[in-house]
Amino acid sequence: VNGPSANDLDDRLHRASEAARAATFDLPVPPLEQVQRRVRRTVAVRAFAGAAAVLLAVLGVTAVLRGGTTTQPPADATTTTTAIVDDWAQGWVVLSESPRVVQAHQATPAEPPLDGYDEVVLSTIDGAHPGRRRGDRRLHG
Amino acid sequence: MNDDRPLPRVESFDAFYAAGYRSAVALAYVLVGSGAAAEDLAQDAFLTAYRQWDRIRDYDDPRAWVRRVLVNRATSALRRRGAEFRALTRLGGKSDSAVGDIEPADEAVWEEVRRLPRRQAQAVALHYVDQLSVDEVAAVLGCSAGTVKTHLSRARERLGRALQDHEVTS
Repeated sequence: VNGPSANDLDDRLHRASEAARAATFDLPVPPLEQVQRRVRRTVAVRAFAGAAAVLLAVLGVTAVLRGGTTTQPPADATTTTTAIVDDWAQGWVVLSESPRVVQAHQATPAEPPLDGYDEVVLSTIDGAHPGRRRGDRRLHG
Repeated sequence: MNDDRPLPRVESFDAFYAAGYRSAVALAYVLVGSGAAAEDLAQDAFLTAYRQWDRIRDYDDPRAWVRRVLVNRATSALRRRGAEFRALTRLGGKSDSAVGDIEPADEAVWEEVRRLPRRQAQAVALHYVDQLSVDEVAAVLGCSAGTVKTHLSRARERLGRALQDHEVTS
């Protein structure tokens, strides 16, 4: 199947761009003070969500450990990034972006070991991204 | 923008912010697909600029600095919080935003742009939505003009195929 010609595609991109710009023509510009208040509020909410995520992550790891399916996490196997906790026991990764995306996955033995701690397994609790994605965030370096 | 035209020196952050806010939201919108998220990203980028304004105001083009912050945050936010953004969009994420409606045919273009590799999507958004020249896009992305041309060329190839598929299946 042939795609649109280069000119047609260029025209379509220009039209879509004009539409995107037009969609913001009447957009009110919020006062900077209002923006600052919103950002402060967001930071506070994220901090709260981060704390909740830490709790859920700890509960998740505890549940995993109690299940006897893993061993104790290595001594250096915990790292924390900005308002986000990444915590794992051996073979497990718990990634917390927000309370909605806290989930633990078991890394299969065939997968690369986590000794580099530079890859995470990401999944959403609503199953939008079941399974795992590697290298979504660099935890080190 | 024209390469030959000297950029005005920006003295007032308020003027800089007022002049660039809407276009920044448009740029963010095509990258994340949510009006509310786009407004947040644009505001965050300008607030970051405000906090460093004493330094940024002396740059040749402070707007490019804001654009760089914006596109980097937009694409990383989309990757990290893609499910959230998509959920917002599904649930009518524009309802809490004043960003206007976009025709489905135009929105389809941006949906495909958002599926492009990060740099290609950024190059397309900056070149078409922000109407930056290849050299200006290169300055924002911190790469060469040749690299931008490659990104744009590959993006057009992919978009051509994707939009054709989109029309065949719809």
